[in-house]
Amino acid sequence: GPSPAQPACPRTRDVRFRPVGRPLAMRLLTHNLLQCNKKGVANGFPLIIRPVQMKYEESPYDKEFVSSMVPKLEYDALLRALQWVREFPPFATGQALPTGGLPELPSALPMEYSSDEEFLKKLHLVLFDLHLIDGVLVCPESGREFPVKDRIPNMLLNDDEV
Amino acid sequence: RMSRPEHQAPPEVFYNDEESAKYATSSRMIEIQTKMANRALELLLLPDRPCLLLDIGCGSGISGEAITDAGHAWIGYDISGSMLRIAGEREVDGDLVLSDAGQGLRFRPGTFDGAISISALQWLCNCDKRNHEPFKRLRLFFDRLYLCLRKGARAALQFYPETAGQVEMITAAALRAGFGGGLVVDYPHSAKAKKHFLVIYAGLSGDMPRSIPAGLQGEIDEHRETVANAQRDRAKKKRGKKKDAGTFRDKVVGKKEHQRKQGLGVRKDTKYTARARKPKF
Repeated sequence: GPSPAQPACPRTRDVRFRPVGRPLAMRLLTHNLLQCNKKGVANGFPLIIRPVQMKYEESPYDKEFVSSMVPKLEYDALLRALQWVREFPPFATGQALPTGGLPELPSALPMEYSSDEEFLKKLHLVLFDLHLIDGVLVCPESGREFPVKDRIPNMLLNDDEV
Repeated sequence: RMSRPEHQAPPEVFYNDEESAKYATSSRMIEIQTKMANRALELLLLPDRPCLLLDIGCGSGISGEAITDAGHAWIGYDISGSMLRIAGEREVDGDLVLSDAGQGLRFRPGTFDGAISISALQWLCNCDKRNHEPFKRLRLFFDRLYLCLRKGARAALQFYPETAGQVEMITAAALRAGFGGGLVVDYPHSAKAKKHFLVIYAGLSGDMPRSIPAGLQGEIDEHRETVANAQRDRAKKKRGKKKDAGTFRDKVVGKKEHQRKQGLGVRKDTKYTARARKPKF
């Protein structure tokens, strides 16, 4: 369970880590959590990513930060997201990415991930540095398409879908 | 006598580009929203490690910035595209989603460590469309919120109730969804400073308390605690000030022009360029 509750106090780590002038886009951590909310859909997850425009934006690695997110992940879905993201041609060729292209993640979450620096660094890039700017998210169950425009997924439903 | 925004139009209509810009650049609004966001974070009783939070009705990202400053990750959603565009211009750290709270945005179960909402929930009490049933929308909102929170996680939802009936309706919808907790009212005796927070928990876990705290009491500078409704729709006032040549903004703009000439990608100059940011310490 969580450690004993303490009053919120400002943390000292500098979390403002993105380069100035580059607004953020929808990232794969959010994709790993988001489901289709259309009426009648039992398990609209993970949403299929059809990328039209993506961007890589490096952000500083914070071991504690990325480790904290690991227990929340649906790891297989993250691997699938990575495969869909590879279909964005500049990512497939690696031209829009740092040397090495998209990282290869292991097929299963390492048991001792919290001390596996190499894994955590790759995971950091995958979760936080790949931004979906334009494209479509598709519900795997209903086929319902949710457009992503200017970095923001539009999850608004029509009246008959609520 | 100025009417509440909720009486004028649905939120996605009221918070259009112009209104959103006014909201997001009012330093008084920023101060008040930030203060309430920090109070909401305090009410979540978060552990001392990075958490993942949901910001409901995140608007232009003012509350989201408070979450980032507290060291946590967040995802925010709002029904107003204009507000979210401004959040993007603010370069907030959280991911943003366009969504209607009353449609029950859905996340995987048990993933969020907490949720906050600043000045948004009262909008759910309206009938903005002919087929809206406010209580049903509130129920769907709380049902989905309950599911996406970890066991024992809390939500602190600040809102501006117009009537006691609205307070009852919102609270009832939360309790029907299975939440424990209740209402916290800060500065209940001050008409201007009074703030309502619905503080609720999705089950109990570990040594999290069953109780919710009493509201804040005591001396408060009333003048600083509120923005009159009139400010939200009076004519745009002239913000021009005389500035000497070579101000900080001039220097930033000059440097950006230099960078453009170098062929670097540089965002266009807007009224936000070189705007003073909130101090971090």
